[in-house]
Amino acid sequence: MNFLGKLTIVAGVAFLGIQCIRPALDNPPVTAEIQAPPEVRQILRNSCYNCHSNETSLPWFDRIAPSYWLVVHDVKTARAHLNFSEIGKLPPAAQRGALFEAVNQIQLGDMPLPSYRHVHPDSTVTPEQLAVLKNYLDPFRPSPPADADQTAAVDTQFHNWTTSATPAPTVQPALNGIQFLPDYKNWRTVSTTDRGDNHTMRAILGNDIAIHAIETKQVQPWPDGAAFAKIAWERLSDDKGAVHPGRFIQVEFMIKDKTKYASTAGWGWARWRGTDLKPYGKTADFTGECVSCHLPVRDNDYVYTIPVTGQR
Amino acid sequence: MKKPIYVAALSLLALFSGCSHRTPAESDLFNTSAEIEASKLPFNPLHWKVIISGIDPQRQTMSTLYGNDLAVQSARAGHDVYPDGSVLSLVTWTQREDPHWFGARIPGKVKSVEFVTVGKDSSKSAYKRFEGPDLAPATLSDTEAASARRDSILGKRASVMP
Ligand code: HEC
Ligand code: HEC
Repeated sequence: MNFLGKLTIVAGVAFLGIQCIRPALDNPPVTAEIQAPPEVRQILRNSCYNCHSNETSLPWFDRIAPSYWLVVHDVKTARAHLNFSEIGKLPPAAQRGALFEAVNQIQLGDMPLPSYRHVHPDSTVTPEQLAVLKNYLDPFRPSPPADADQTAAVDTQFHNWTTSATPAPTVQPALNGIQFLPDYKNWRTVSTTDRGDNHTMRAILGNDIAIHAIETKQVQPWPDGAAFAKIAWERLSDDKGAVHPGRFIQVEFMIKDKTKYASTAGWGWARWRGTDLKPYGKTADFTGECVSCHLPVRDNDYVYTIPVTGQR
Repeated sequence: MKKPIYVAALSLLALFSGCSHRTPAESDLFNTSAEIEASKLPFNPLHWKVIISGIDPQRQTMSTLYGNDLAVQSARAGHDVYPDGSVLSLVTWTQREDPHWFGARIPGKVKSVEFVTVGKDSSKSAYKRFEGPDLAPATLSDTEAASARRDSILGKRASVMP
């Protein structure tokens, strides 16, 4: 037998052999499926459930190793991030939030995973299907005017803020060690956003290095030392329909240092919640949440905001 | 013989992994449509600090109130009356959908820039208004409307920023 023939046999045996290495992939029970109308569920079922649910059903070509191993890995990761078979136990607002994130990942071309889409073209979400999801979510439908409690809460917060020392003298660092930067409020404004998805208003501020990078259009990548602060307030309507910031919710930072923060996409992430500025999260791993939601804008160096120019 | 196979395998890998870097369009990196031509204004409000922002859903506009240091200090201390020398500027933009996030709206085009310059007597503060994307100075024949705008700007409270 010639060399090529032997090689083919060896490869064939190896191929059959690896079929025996089969990591387990079972379907746990569906405990609480996402609450959404049938047409919305149908789209998710068709495009996402193979990875993001407990109803995975792989076609035969996905069951062949080594591609099987990759699929198993994807399904396990996907379920850990977002599981449409279990998310129904979360409050409605959290389920809506997940759907907004889903729509945005689809819109930016990140979901279903591009590698999966190449092999399963019919999993691609069509523009018509995307429109169905968006119509269901309808972020800017009019909201009722703020009630007396909401208005009173803003007044109390404002009163306490203007009469007490700011910041509270004992702001703890974020769980990944990033220190609070009390001067953020004196940075310049990069943009503002009106968020219908979660009824908040935001201001995005940038430190001098960030502003200089905008002026000189050097943001690919953003220079080390550039920092953003994003402040979120409740979005309250008054009886005339005008919208004002309500209670302060949180402030968060992204601080660029491609070496120091190499493991978190080159940025240091930090968030403090409430006027008592409580560090967010339970462990330093809270940054995983930040990075995975900012991942679809990796080509913009992970920055979502489109800075308003003319800072000069 | 081997090289082309590697190249083909690598390019397939790059294609499938979807991790190749695309250079974003200029409009994905900078919001130039919302730029304010500051040379047409007495001050560039973007040099100042933010006091508060607001939204008018009916007109689909969003605005940000900026102030010079005197004004910002006073607003953040919760004082009712701005000191002599305070300057406030309210910039209003039309809104547009955020191309990066369904569910968000961001500044589109500048609709107006208003200034209030506070003198010794804050009820006599000077009001100026520049309109449209080219920031034409408005003729304020309706003095009542002008003082209503001035009072509304002077009456805005700072957002809480701990
Ligand atoms: C081939 C498997 C696969 C399919 C199909 C798939 N995803 Fe994913 N998805 C993943 C994996 C893996 C991750 C984790 C990615 C990461 O952050 O590293 C993920 C992450 C996400 C996230 C981010 C969750 C978080 O924690 O931030 C969202 C949202 C998402 N997917 C939505 C969808 C939607 C919507 C669909 C269908 C239109 C879909 N995915 C289809 C594998 C898949
Ligand atoms: C569900 C998705 C999501 C998650 C999770 C998320 N972000 Fe963001 N982030 C956004 C979006 C969208 C914007 C754009 C501004 C806006 O509309 O609020 C943004 C903007 C920002 C900005 C302003 C700079 C920029 O990129 O535009 C900072 C700073 C920031 N996020 C920090 C964080 C931190 C810190 C965390 C984790 C604790 C985090 N984000 C988690 C979606 C997310």
